[in-house]
Amino acid sequence: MLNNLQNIWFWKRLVLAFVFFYFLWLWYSGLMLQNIYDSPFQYKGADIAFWLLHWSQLPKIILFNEASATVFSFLLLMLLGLSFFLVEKRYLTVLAGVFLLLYQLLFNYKLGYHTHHLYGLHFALLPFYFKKENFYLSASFARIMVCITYFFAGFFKLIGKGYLSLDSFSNTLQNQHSAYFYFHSDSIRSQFAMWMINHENMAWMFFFMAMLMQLSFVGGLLSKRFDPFLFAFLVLFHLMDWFLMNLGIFMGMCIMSYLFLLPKSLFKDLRV
Amino acid sequence: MLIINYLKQCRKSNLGFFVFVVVVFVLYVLQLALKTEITPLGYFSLYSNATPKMDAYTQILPSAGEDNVPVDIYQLPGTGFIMMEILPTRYQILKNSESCNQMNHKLHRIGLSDRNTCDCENLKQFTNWYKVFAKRQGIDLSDRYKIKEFGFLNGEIIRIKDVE
Repeated sequence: MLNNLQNIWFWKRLVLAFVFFYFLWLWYSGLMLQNIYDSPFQYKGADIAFWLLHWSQLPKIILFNEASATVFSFLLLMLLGLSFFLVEKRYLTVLAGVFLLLYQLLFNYKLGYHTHHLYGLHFALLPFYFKKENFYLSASFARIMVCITYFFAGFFKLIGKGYLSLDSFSNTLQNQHSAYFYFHSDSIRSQFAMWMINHENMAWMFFFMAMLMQLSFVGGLLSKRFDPFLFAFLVLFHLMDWFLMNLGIFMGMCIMSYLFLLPKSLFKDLRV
Repeated sequence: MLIINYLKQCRKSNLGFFVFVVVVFVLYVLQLALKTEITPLGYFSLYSNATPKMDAYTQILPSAGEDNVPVDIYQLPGTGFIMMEILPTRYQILKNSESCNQMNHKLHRIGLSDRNTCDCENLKQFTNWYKVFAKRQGIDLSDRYKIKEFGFLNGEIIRIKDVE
């Protein structure tokens, strides 16, 4: 039991360290609330979570001025750090999770766009919000949610029928890098993307493979046998998302791939 | 089947957690059925539809001055360029939406509506604010800067349009 508990704390520390460093990266990239606190957007869309946030008046309090937004960002980092060091204190992790959710909602609210680049972090942290006795249930649930999410991403591509058009992904790349090509035509990313654009068949195959990879997550809902493959698919997918599509903002999603690596022995004594 | 076994085991071992799981699943099913965002923990459906070939691929960017020279937003550290890209694009989309809410048609679908006027009023400050924001990020825009829609093809500017 003690051994398994130590193992859980190891995984928890690993995840928290990744999330902490991911936020340092966001800070370095100027993607914190103090960068955007005074934007003229207050976008709620049709998402009930954003309407509740708006009605709660929390944006007015947290984003009152640059100082209050900066304090919030510091608190978020501090909570992540404290959860790492005081790994057994579950309430700190829950609090860090609440701050993480608030950061995501407030950031999207002021960005004017509901980007989902942080839900990988939520799924990664979810198993640690519950009592250790429930670790098997919560980690399995987070793993199922990841499988459902990626499967649906593939499923939408399947019913969207983008793959029926041979030049679709070449055009997507042109669209994605339209300005980047202008400024950085000599970069490796530009060269590779341009090669893809000029080889429509290869670009199509690349897109089709990505769709198949996402669809294969349905296997994770049926068995744990494919977990090493799903781990590799998830990391590879986001690596290419960054390299080929210049969507480095989604790299944080890779954190949740650990859910496919948890050893069976970890659950032995904790399984209810 | 793993997911079915999981739900059975969950119900047997911890009813509270089982209820939590069911609530999350119901939220996701509702989101799918209503085709409306309900949870911020959504899923991606990016690039699902075919992208048509175009004579120019547009990107909204700040121009360096009155000249039609776009500012290189990719010089920013890390992934900071994304905000410089998204913000003016969202400005254009939202200011052309009903009550400046792009999802108003989805709200109508579930019998609701966003009729606020202050969101559009606030958007009038965008051009001034974007200059302040760019400075904060490390890009100094001139007082005469403009937000423009640049049409690119293979790394060349084909056409330019002002965004007002």
